Amino acid sequence: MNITIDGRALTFEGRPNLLELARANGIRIPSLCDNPGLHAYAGCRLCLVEIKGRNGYVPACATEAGDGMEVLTRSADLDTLRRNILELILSEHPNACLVCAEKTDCNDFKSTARKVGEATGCVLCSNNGRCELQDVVEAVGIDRVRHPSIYRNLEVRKDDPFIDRNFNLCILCGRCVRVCHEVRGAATIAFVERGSSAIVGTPQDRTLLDSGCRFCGACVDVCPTGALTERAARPELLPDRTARAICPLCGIGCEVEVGIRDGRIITISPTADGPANSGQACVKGRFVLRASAASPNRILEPHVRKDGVLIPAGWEEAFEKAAGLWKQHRPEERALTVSAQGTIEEIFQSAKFAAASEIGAWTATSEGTSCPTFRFKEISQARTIVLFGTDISETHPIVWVEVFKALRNGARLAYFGAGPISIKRHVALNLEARAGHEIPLLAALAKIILEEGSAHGSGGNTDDLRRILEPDVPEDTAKAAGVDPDDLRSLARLFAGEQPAVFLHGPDYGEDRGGAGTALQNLSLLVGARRLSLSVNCNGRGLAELRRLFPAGETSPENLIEAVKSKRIKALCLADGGTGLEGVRPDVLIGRGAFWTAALREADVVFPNTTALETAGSFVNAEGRIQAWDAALPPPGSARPDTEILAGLGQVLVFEGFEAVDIPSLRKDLAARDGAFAGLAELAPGDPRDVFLQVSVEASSTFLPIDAAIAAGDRIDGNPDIYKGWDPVREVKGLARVRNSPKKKVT
Amino acid sequence: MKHHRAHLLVCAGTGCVSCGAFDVKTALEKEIERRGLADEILVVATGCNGFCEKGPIVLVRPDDIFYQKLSIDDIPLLVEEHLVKGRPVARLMYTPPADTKPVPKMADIEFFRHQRLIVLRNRGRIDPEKIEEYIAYDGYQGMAKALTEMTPEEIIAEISASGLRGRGGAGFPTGKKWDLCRTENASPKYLICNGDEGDPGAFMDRSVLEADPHAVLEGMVIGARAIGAARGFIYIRNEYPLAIQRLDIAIRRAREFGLLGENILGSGFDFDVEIVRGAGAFVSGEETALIASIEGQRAAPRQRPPYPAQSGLWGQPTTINNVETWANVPSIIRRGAAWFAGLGTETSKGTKVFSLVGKINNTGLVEVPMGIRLDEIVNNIGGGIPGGRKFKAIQIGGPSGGCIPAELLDLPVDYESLTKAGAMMGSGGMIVMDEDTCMVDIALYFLRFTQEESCGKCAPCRIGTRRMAEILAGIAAGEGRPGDIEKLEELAWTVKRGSLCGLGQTAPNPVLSTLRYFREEYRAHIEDKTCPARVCKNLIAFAIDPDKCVGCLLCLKACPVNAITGERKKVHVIDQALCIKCGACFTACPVKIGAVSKLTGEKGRALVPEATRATTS
Amino acid sequence: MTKKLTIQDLAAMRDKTRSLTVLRDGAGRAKVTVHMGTCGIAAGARDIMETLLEEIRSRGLQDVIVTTSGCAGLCNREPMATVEIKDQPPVKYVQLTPDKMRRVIAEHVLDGRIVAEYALAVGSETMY
Repeated sequence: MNITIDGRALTFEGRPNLLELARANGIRIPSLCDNPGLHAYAGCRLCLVEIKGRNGYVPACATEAGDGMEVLTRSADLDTLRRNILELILSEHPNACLVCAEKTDCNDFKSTARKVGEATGCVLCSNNGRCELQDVVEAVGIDRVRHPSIYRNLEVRKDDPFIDRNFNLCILCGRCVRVCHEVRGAATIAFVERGSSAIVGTPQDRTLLDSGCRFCGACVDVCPTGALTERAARPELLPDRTARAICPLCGIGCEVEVGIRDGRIITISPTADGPANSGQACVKGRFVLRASAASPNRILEPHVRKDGVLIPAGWEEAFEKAAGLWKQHRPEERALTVSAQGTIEEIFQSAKFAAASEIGAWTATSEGTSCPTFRFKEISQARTIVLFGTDISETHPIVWVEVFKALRNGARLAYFGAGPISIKRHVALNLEARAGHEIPLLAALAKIILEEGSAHGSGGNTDDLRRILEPDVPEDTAKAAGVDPDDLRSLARLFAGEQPAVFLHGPDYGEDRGGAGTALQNLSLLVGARRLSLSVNCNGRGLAELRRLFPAGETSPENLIEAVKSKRIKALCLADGGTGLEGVRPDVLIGRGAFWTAALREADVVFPNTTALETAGSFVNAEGRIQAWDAALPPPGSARPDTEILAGLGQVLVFEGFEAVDIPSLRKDLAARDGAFAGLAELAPGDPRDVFLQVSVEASSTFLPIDAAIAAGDRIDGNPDIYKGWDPVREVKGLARVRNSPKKKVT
Repeated sequence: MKHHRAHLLVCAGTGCVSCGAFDVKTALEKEIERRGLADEILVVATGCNGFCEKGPIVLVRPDDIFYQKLSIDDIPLLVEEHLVKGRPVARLMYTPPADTKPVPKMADIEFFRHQRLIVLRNRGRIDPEKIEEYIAYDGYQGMAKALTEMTPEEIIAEISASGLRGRGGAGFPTGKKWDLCRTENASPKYLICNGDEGDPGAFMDRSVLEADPHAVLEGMVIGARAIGAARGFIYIRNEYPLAIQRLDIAIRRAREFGLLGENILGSGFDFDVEIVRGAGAFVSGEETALIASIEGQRAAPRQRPPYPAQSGLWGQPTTINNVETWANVPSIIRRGAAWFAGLGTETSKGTKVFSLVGKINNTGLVEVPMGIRLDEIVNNIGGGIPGGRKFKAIQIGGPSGGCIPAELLDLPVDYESLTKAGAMMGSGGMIVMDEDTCMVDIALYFLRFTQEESCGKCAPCRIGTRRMAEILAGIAAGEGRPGDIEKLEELAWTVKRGSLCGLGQTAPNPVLSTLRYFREEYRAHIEDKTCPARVCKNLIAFAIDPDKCVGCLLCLKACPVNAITGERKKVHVIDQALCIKCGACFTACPVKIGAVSKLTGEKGRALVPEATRATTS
Repeated sequence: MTKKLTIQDLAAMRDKTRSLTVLRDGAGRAKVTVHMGTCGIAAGARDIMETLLEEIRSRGLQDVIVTTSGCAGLCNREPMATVEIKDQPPVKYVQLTPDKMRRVIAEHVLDGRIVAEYALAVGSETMY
């Protein structure tokens, strides 16, 4: 379709609004309240344009482009109107710096003014230089504000973790309120009062913490002024460079931008359009991750045990010592742990090391095998969503954003699991079962669906299922589980309603201990729902594929501990701090990790490795998407990536295959060995294409007996906040406050 | 079966209720019982008659005698003389201000004579809580016709042909609005009645809802049939408890009789309504803000398009009309479009209800045919300005409207003429002003109102009206500066062109229209520091003329701040430093003596010590 | 429980309440004014009134309005009542008794025939 803007003939398709159409064609129309991903607000009135044939002016953000329209974004009247409106906005916002003629020379003078402590001008505002209001003033060209200034004189709120609120700077664009309500579903902040007194506030003016905020930081990210800022961002400490990274703190794999100054991380925020997270993040990636680089608990150099005490040592000495110890025992007495928080390259390297060591046993921090890939965005298309046992607002906040999108489109949510969840108010049907009763309950559900004929699935022979479910009596099962039988029936009926249905589950329903995974698989087949397994660790999904490359001998952590106690295993090499293996002390204990842990403190040799921010690498996220990145900053001390540590050890042990240690070679090697990783070979960081695992696993189309072995999922070992042995709740006070807040609402 | 010979129609609109109408009714019933006339005479509480200044009002039918300003002490006499002995009581009748003889019959009273009742046809003559009385006066006949003899398209065609335009203020053709909604494919569709009536001094919708709630319900059923809605909402401001109560009763009765709900009149058509109460904001009368309010959101307007007809309540096609618009619909369907179009002007058909208030003798609610001239309303119906003062202006359209000066009093009342003159039909508020009204003060009053009621969403309205109010307040306080008028005009232009909704877009109108017709008054305030109407406190001073003062102590006693000194038979003096300009002394001084006067300009300023002149009020 | 109305019910209901509208609008076919005042009452105007109302009730008349007025001036001819049929001059009846009233109703009000022997004058007067 055709349109003319300022005399330029343009074509377009679809239904863009005039603002996005103009921007896509390089025509700048100023705006302060518009934001991608949010519904048009049309409140700032700066984007007003003229359309030939229509009276008055219309906001470009809220006007759909029409075939044959003639649009004017500039005219004498429009320019004056825009300037006048901006002047009015500025009269409510400290504007001296914005219109000052000495703006650029101010650096020489501002150090003395700093003591004020309040942002009474741009130079004192942490948003200085990154402020959209500054940009708009610049673009429109204002050098005077002809109205007396009004300063609201509100107290600057610093009583919450991470986020400061200075509503003296607020221009009431509404973006923060809209992102909190429309995208995150938390509805923690809203407009309060009316007219000139209108401002953004919380219920009864409580702290954000008491209002259920989960500190995802979305409001800070969209605020065009310095009204909402992160406390860490002080005006004189702005980053001097940025780097792209993938957050390693959960299985979503949010793409983030790391702001660095003088080699220190100042801030981390989501990029505008990360493929997995679409510009959203959570408290961990947004505010907590940065503390990992400079944690006082980092291991800065190798350590060896001498005379019973671990003391720092050089790399060569450490390699020699470790190799020597490793060779002391026969291969079948050796074992190693594999961390689902390592990069693909690191895990691959450890698979090679395990094979070369001919180890007797190994265990991983996550179980699970291959399963079909999917995209988070598909979840928002579902009409019925059931959460099995996982409070995704805690474990997978970005998945919650997609679920919320579906709910806004009229989908319905049901929860099936033990214990309450924080998103209860969004749930249409809540089945809190007693712990341990989930599997019989799933069977009972399937039985009801069969009885009532609400099965939708097209695969599987339901007679098979009937036989499998024979002994169950749904009413009894429900009562034993503490669930109202009517609720169970309602859930069954939910499936008969809207399709497509999606099951979201975490590790509890993925791993096969007890048959939960099987029961869920049967159920999903019965009702024609997609079963999406949400891995919790940053590379849990990757490990699910990579375990194929390890030698036989995978065992559970419990079995390994038992084996060490009974001295079948005498040498153990720990990955990533060895979480879950505390208190185990075989004859030889070699540890690799970025942070000191209880397990590492028992080791004979400790090698310091890097976090994901300090090495190039790649993860597979819960979708099955492969994302790669380059190191954002150099490792602290003399820490090295795990790939190099294992290569060094391998070389000293004269193992083959450890010569090339660079990431591109490792990737090519892996891609050649395992077809699932074919896309990894050519993957460059920030590649705009979507690169997924290439798996040929189809969803099973037969019903499985309960004791069939099927597992597809990740496991959390205890605390999902732990990263490579680092417990951020202990080190970052703000996170402790958020986790311990009794007023948890949804992120 | 009782056959009464007379019905006493006691006016029970909020105005009369607040001055004791229910007590009068009870007194009447008791006295009639006592005199053994209970089988002959029925006492009925009706809706507002419109002659609100004269309440409590009782009409005696069939005699058509109009009694006004009744108190319970008058009742025994009234019953004895009129009802027992058949001699109507002249003392309790209405006497026009310039006359000495009372006008006994309602039909002869000037205030009523010039009115033409369609929307208010049942006022003062039915008990709004009795559906049977509504039915007696052809109630629900229009609905019956629409549901059984007409297709939705025919209903819309009839409304369009009638020329009915939205009575809430915008004047959009109602038939067209319904058609736009009808042609939308989405379902469900909704109907809304806008009863938020927020203009200060407006009470048209309230009176309709209190006097004849069934008219609104009937109109809504017809409209629902036309557009294809099964559910409707009546949004009433919470400050109208009597209207809410009467509407609630009406809804219940209509449901009981099968005139609302499922299978109305056995026609197979379902439609039901629920009442939603407002939460105290003027802006929620704006249609998109009202819709947001019903949805449970903050009542902030939304950008249009899309219009509610396409995407309204919960994103569904919605038709929203004002109370008065809905109340017109049954009559139009029952009596035909041609009948309705026969009233009014070329572009503005039918009648309009106005609230006539301010400096006018006959304050109240009037319904007149469109096209009637303003001077007929002011002089004939309104009875002119009280106290022999001179007419100065009439403000039409509330905070969105403007002032019409004396030289334009021959304007016909219709949408276009009023808009051209810088005013607006609005919802029908008419505030009459005389020479003692300061136009700067009036502009400030309205602008302060819109400032307070602005929702705060868009910058031009939120901040622009505040800046305008500050400048106006400065002018009124005597701190106006050259260039202020130009600043006001530029701000007004910015607010008008830039605001998101009608509140902001029309907020500058009172300022613009007073500037247009009374620019000289602004100039006097700014340059001469004078308030010609002697209203703006900082620009006036009260003084006692020593030649006239007789030393009666009345003003001294009236002064709330003891600013007057004096003794009996000695001239009193006002201490200007203490005077708060409340005007109590002015009112207290007997008219014959008239020693207290208000001074302004040089003379006024000369009296007031510089230091005590207050700053911006 | 109230019955849900059909269209016929609606019309019937309206027709049944005609007397109400007639009264309130003062728009009856016939108007009977009973002259009260102290003399009238003393002479028995209350009985005439009651008779009149009783007749209207028992005959179910819908279109007859009853009003009162003060003393008409002819105090020795009380009780008096004036009958006015629409578009016809009013007729004043004097020295009425309940029976005479009933006859006047039956013949004049219902049938249009003036009862000359009870009548005083035929002609219009200004009345409240």
